[in-house]
Parts: sequence; structure tokens; C-alpha cells
Amino acid sequence: MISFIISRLLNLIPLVLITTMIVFTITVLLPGDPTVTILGEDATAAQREIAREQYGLNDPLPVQYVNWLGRALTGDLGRSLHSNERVIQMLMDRIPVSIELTILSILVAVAIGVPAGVIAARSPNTIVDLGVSFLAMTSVAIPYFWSGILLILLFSVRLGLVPPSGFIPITEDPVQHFRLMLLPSLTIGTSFAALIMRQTRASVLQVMSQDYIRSSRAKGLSERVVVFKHALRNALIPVVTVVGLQIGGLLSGTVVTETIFSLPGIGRLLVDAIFARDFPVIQGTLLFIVSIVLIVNLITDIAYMILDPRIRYKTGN
Amino acid sequence: MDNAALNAPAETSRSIPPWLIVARRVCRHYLGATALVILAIVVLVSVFAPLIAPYDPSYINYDRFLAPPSAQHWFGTDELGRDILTRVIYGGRVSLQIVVLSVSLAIVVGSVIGLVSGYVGGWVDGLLMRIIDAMLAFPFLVLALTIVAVLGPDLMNATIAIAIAKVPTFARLVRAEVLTLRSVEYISAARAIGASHTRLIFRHLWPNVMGNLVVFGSLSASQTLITESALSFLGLGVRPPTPSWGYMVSLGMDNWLSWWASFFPGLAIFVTVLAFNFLGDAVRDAMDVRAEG
Repeated sequence: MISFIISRLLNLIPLVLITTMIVFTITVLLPGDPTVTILGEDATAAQREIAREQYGLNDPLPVQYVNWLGRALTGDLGRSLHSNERVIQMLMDRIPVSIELTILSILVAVAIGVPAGVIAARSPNTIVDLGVSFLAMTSVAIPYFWSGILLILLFSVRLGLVPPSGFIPITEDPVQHFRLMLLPSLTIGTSFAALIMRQTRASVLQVMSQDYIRSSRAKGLSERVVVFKHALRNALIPVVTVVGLQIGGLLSGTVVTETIFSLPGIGRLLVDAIFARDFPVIQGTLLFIVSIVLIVNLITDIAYMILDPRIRYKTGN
Repeated sequence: MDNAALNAPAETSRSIPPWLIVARRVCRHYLGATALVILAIVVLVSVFAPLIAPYDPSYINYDRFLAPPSAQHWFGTDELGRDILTRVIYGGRVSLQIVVLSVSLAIVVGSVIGLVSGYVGGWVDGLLMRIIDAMLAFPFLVLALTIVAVLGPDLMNATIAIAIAKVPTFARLVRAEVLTLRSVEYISAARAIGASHTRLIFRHLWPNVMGNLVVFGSLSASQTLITESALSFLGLGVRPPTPSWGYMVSLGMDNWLSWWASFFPGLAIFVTVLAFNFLGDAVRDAMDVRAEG
């Protein structure tokens, strides 16, 4: 297992290097003169030249990349061209919001998707199964931005149960905090639940046909114990993988959802930075998002190997 | 989803081209038939928009700001008094255009990269695949969003951005197919009789890869439509006053009490995405030779 982890880590090195090159190249290609963003329209040519020297913008691109990467590795992602705030600090302030939104969305998705998948699998090809599967198919077709707006229209505008948007830190008012996080979590969670439901249904169906399930039934165990204690435990292994592999999709979801619900997270930071042409913030945010995806993919691979001994044997350990 | 098997001469379908067999199966599939009917309606309505739409999409009616659905305006009017039904009809043109162009562009570029990578192998394959892997580490919407930021927000740039973001998945698929086909007997035979690299790639490999590409293209059409709408929703896609479903949904956020402003454009996205998903599932089932029994 150690050699598998080491080999995955070694594979990660060129991948990380190329992703950083892509991040750097994209932001260098952004149209417009960065010194206009820094100094404004009224700055003279001489002032612009000084700024270019100061920010290293006159250096050749490979030199700029190496300098940027070196600083990034030490946690220095530069400063916002607009607020002059340190980018790493801006990320640190917003990361908890996005992580909380992602975790709450996964909880909503699992709470809906796993029971729905089990219900569908326990009565395959019945009206219940078809109904649950049809619901799953339709919910993946609803874009986040539309479901978010529909939830606001229903629960905030029509019923007045929760505030439509905004953010209050959990330390200030925990109740209001969770009331404000409810609709964003439902927006992402209900869509993600469809994927989990489909995977759970397929896994449970497969596991229920195994010999050990027949043995469990032959021993006289109740159907509930067979399903929830024996079948579901094994059936959930692929579900864990689906959750891990969909982290990119969830982060995409936060970009739109944070914008709709005015949440101060990473996704909204990226959108705001793109509109403001604030390239250090764009670089920092992209770097963070890609790092999260790569790390979660690595953890998923390792977790899958730990959960499923067959993978371990295939890798020769 | 064994396309090679479909392309291989079969006892029962010697004279019928494989695409026709797949098309027939899709039409017989209840979800596929439903999807085809919905998509045919969307396409026809979009193509004949000037004949069908009750109003001009840019016509501003100062007396009918945010009017609710009525006999004159079935889907109501927006904050400038424009007819929402008309703009939904015209918005379909834009969305379908972006979906078709970006998926086609991604298929062409992804195929070239995948064919070269899989066929040439060695360090070329290693380098290309590392770049593709790195691109796949970016969430799809985030990558498209950033490319649009570089190119500038408009219809053509949104198309290019979505196509670039889609290229890695197509390249990976084609490469995997080529690696499988490279060792198939008829490829070895063609090589043995002296077929050139170009002939091997474009005459023997490419046609066998195309089937699965079409399936994957139809499966990814829904994701493309959602991404295009999301870009327009965020203000980074199609620019106003051109009607776009995503942008129209975003206008509803300024007028919460006028639910129709975002509901109907969103419904159009939902129905079209659902149809693309149904079609993708049907095509996948139709391509699966095991399903034939």
C-alpha cells in the first residue's frame, strides 16, 4: 500500500506542475493592462513603467512563472490589485464558507440519495423504482441557478420561511447562519442526490444478488438487517468514490450558488475577480480549486484501496 | 457500447448501415422517441422563430413592464416590457447553436489529440496525456469561466471556451479507443499490406472511433447547454440584448415578485437538458450490442 501511495504522489508532481502552468498562462493571457487596474486610467506612462518593474511584469514569461511558483509554494500568492489585501488571506477568509457549503450539500445529497437508492433497489422494476429513477433523471436536468431561484421563490418569497440570501457567521448567530445556508445546500444537494441515488441503486442491486446475502437470509435474519447491516455496507463503497470524484462538480456548483445566495465563498470570489480583472486573485483561487480537486482525487484513490481489498491485491500488495 | 462490433459486418444487418440500426433502436426506445420529439420541437421552433414568435424579441413595451402571464403575453413580460415567450423562442436559437458548435469543435480537436496520442504513443502520448489530465483537474464550469474571461464574453467566445473545456474528455475517450483498436487484427493486416499512417488513422481507426464519439457527444450536450446557460447567467456568456435562456433567468433575480421572468426561461433549459439526457441514454442503450439480445 505504501508503494501505491508513493507512486500516486510521484504521478502527482508533473500534474501539479502542468496545472500551475495552465493557471499562470490563463491569467497572463487576460486582456487589458494590469497597470491600468493597479493605477487607474489616469496614470502616466512613466508611472505605469514603474509599476510594471515593481510587479515584475517586464520579466520574460518563464521568469515570471518561476518567480510566481516559488512565491506560491511559500504561501505568497500576491496582493489583490483592487483592495491590496493579501490573496492568501482573502482565500483563508472564504474557504470555510465554501467548505461548509460543500459538506452541507453532501449531507443533503446522502440523506436523500442513499435511502431513495435503497428503496428503488429493494423493489426493482416496480412503480416505486421507476418513480424514484424518473425523479433522479429530472433532478439532474435542473441547473443549479434555476433550482436556487425556484427555492427562493417558494421558501422565501411565497412562504417567507427563510431569508432569500446573505451570510451571517456561525459565531454571530448560529440559528440565522443555518437558516441562510439551508437553501444553498438544498440547491446543490438535491441535484447531487440524483447521482448518489443512481449509484446506490446499482450497487445495492448488485450486492443483493451475492451469495453472502442469500446466506444471511437463510440464517433467518430480518430483511432490514440484511439490507442495512450487510448489503448497504458493501454497496456504499462505490458511492464513496462517486462523492470523491464529483468534488469538481460540487465546486462548480458553489460558483453559481454562492453568486445567487450572496455567500462570501471561493466561487463568488472567482467570479468577482474575473469581472474586476484582478489576476492575482484569479490565479490564487484557481490554484486553490485545482489543488482541492487533485488532493480529493488522491484521497479517494487511497480510500477506495483501503475500503476494497481487491484493489489492494491487484496493485500487488 | 461496442462500436467495433456494430461496424463489423453482421449476419442480420449486412446491407443496413450501422448508424441506421442505431437510429432505429433509438426511435423504438420510449425515452429516445420522447427526446427526439421534444428536440425536434425545440429545433423547429428555433429555426422558424421569426414566423412563430408573436412579437419582436427586442420590442420594448413601456406600458407592460413585468406584466404577468396573460392572453397577450403567455409567459408574461420582462423588466423592459419585452415578451418573454418571444425571447424564449429566440433564446433557443442561441443555446442550440452553442451546443452544436462547441460539441462539434471539441469532437474534432479532441479526436485529433486522442488519435495522435494513442497512435504515436511514447513521449508524445505521455506529454499530451499529462496536459489532458491537468486540464481535467479543473472543474468544467470553472475552466470554461476562466477561458471566457480571457477571450471576452460573447457568443463565439463562449462557444470556444466550452469547446476547449470539453476537449480533454473527448481526447481521453478517443485515445482509449485507439489503444484498443491498435492491436485488432484488421489494423495489423492493413499495416502488413503497407497502409500509410494517414490511411490507418483516417480510413481504419477514425470511423470506428466515431460511433462512441457520437454517443458521448449526445451525452455531453446536456452538460454543454447547462454550462452555456450558467455562463450567460453569470454575465459571461451571450451579451444582451441577444436573448439567451441563462441571462433571462438571471434577470428574474432583480424582480423576485415577478416569478415568470426566470421561471419560463429556466423551464426551457430544463426541458431541453432533460431531452438531451434521455437521448444520450437511448443512444447508449442502442449502441450496446449486449442489449440486442
